Amino acid sequence: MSSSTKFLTLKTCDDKKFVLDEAIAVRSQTIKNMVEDDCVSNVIPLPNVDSKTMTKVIEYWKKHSEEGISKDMLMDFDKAFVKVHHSILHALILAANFLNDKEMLDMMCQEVVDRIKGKTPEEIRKEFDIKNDFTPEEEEEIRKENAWAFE
Amino acid sequence: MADDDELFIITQTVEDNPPNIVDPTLQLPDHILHYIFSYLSFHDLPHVRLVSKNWYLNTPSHFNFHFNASLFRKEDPTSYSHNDFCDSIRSSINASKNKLINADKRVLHAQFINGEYIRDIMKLLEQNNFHEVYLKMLHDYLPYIFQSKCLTILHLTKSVLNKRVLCDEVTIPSLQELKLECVTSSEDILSKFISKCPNIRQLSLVTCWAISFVVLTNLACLENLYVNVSDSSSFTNIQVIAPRLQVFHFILRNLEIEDIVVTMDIRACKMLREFHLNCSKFPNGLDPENFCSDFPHLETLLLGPCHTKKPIKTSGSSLRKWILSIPQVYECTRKCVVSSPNLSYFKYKGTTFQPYLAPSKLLETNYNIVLIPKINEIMKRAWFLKLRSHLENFSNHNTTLEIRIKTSACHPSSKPSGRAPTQPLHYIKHIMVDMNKLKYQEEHLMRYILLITYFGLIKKLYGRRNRNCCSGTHDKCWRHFLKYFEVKEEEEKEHPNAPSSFYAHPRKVKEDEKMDKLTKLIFIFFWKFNS
Repeated sequence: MSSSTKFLTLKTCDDKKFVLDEAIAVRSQTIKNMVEDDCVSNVIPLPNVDSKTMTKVIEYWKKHSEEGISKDMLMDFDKAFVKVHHSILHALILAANFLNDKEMLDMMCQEVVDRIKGKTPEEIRKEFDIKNDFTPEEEEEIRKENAWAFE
Repeated sequence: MADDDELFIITQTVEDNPPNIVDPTLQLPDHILHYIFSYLSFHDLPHVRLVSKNWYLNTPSHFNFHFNASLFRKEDPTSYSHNDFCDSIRSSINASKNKLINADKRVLHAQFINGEYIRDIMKLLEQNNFHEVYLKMLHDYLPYIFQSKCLTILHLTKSVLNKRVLCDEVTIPSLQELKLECVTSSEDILSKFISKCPNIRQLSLVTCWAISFVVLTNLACLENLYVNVSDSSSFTNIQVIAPRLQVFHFILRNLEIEDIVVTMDIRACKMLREFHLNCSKFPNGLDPENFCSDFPHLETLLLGPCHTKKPIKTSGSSLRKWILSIPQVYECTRKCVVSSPNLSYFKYKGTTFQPYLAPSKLLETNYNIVLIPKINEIMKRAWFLKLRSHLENFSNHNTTLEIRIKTSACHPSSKPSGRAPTQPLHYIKHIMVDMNKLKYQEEHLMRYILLITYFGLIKKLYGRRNRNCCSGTHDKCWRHFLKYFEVKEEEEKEHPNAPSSFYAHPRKVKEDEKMDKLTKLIFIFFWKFNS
């Protein structure tokens, strides 16, 4: 390992610490800005990310920073990476949003889009465990709006 | 037997959400939710609005423009008034300028009837930067590629593509979805036209006349490809090089060229996850004896009617869902070999069921048999007895049986006579009867099917008073084994713009083009297996 490698310590909201190569961590624009602005002390707090999600994020960052990795292998990895329960998907979107990693955010959002496409409202609710909080009257009203607006 | 055991419940299909479920989307900031929804097409937005209040509030606003030149056709002379049409477009745009500018999604539907003026009208329209554009012509030339900085969806219907459209060097990098339907073009121009959309994720080619081959290369982002060339009488070859391709549907049903074997080169599509193949002969370039080896990620395989003399072996470890459609037309005499350890869903669709075509490993759930019985006679008692005899083939499987009646000309005119059998078929967990083609005798048909397969008149099911039935007989009647059943009315997704439906039943949708929704009744029976 090169002697010039710098390491950053990231602390998640559940007080777990992750020591990470700075070159990998700066995939996060948020962390990169902190490093560039010299705001980094010993530990970088990540109040909006828990350790379980951060483990996944770091797994993604490391894979996408590997030298010599082929496009095919990355596609395989990405495909498997997004195939998670929607609760993890949402946690990863929040983390990518907070860490400001646009590439990762786009990929996760695209997965949500793919899971919504072509589904009925009931199927979407089932897919994402969403409670229907409309009254039947409200729902009927929106259906009428839709009939008018989307005809 | 306790009264409770005999009760059946007709439930609604709406499921109560378990308590304490936290809506995970509530945790997503509004701008993220809005960002996600901005990727959705105009056709998905009405569904998104209905999911929850939070989603409703974050659904992007849209503005939908419809222009139809045929409305300006004058009775005399036969040509339409071009000036009136242009004036109408100008005044509509001016009247709604602010709404148009502020809308998150601008959608344009335009129908032309006179090729002479298409260029002028397109110039007029494209100043507004539309996101989705649906252009329908009457077999006129497309003068050039529609311009918009934020164009994500482009559908062209009944258009002619010639060299003119390739004249400028314009590309559409923002385009995500391209659909060409009833488009007339040469193979070369079609390929070059598609290559002008380098970032498309979904491509549909439907009824492209006079096309004998399709070559699609360098489509780095392509994920979904739907090709229906059934109307081409000379189609021979398809080559696709798309490293990200996940879903590929290929349909070639043409009686004129049933003997022609298409050459299909899709080996470069290593990420293929879902493959629907529906053509007369098994294509060259695919190996039926080693079907999954080229596609390590293949999860869903739908084999439509294809003739092959070789047995089809599906042995991919990734394969989870296998659908075999109308398999009696396969010429294979030996059984299909399915050694996919992770297979969790098997669906069979045919006029009769051949157990040797099923996977050797029995699945605990999701064993779906769709029967489309051949009906060339009145469905009398003898017909149903024959059906019941055939249903014995399912006895080794926990099966959902779906019966689709495709004609309304087969109904008996009177009630069935004779004594009904008394043993229920326990292994059939659910029965669904597709009522689409029945116009007046739904209950009558249900009575027939239940009479033979479930041994009682549905009239008794609804109105029975005597709870001591069968008390003196060895064989209990079906009611003693019935836990409950559900009756639900379901709207079938048969929207002509829905790709999956379209490609599954291209001709059917064509017939029903104006019909957005079809309704079918589904009867679901839950049996007490331990009784």
